[in-house]
Amino acid sequence: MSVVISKSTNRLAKLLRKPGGAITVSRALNSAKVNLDAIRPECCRTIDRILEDMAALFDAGKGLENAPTLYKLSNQVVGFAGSMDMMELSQAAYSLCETLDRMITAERWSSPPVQVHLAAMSRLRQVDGNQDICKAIIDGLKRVAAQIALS
Amino acid sequence: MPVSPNSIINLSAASVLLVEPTNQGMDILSQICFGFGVRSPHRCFSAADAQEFLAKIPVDLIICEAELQDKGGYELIRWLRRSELDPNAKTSTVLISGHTPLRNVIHGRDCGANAVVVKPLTPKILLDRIIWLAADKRDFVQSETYAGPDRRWRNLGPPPGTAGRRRNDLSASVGQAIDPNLEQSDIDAMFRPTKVAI
Repeated sequence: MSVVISKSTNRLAKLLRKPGGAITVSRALNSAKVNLDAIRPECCRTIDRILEDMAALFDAGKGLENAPTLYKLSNQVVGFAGSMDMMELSQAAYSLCETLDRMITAERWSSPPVQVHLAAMSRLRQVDGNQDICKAIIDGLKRVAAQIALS
Repeated sequence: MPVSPNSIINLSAASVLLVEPTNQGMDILSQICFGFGVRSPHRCFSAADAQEFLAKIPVDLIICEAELQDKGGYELIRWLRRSELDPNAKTSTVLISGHTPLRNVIHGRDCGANAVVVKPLTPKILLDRIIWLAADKRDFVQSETYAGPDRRWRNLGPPPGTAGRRRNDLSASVGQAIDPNLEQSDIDAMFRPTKVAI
């Protein structure tokens, strides 16, 4: 098959400039933020439920067998927490994804780093908003992640 | 390019498809889109649903999560680009990815998405991307191994030592001048001296 290069009509560009129903960027961003604030309590409950599920999966003691599910749940927390401005929790969940991905790739399970991440994420939910504690927890997790990368 | 807060956008008539496997994730995407003025975004929770939908309804923008239950968002977009569905095969597509395992990074580049946005997703990041997509003028490429927007961002010419395969490829060697040389006065005009205070 040869390479076919064609022009495509950018329909989005035409729509974005269409008169009637237009709003400013700042209004769009404010509206989106207000909408997100409205679902924040529900989103926090979902995050807490996921953290409980993750703790239960870890406590089941199945090691590497449960790692893909833990990874999937942690990846959900990355997105949910980040969209709700819980950046430290999102970072901690991302770090756990990184840790689990290494373990899955290497087919080697290690409980302590996962346990530390889960404890940190749970603590971050409790101290949501306290920047000093959040920063200290994230710094600690970075050290744990660095240790895993070196080992 | 930063977008001015006073810039005007209009997504009220846009047909937007959201593909996200979780209820909470779908709520987040929907609320952001409502804020942007999208009237009623279409929602699909799996790649199979999305494929069925895309075969019937024309869509202007697709926002798709990378990790779906049945198949990855990467595979969905790859299928769409090769589907020959008109006009959906060439629709602007944003792929949203959380943590990306190394094995999926290449999929992200090669699946044919117009943009990949890494979570956490905020309204600002998504709107910046949508506005950027609206200004995207890249050609659509179809080959044996890839279908989607041209992945080349800059034209650096053909590889060294080769003549190039495209009609508009320029040769690396400089040929004879085809226009008369500039007059010295023209050159001087380019370096017009100005007074400066020291």
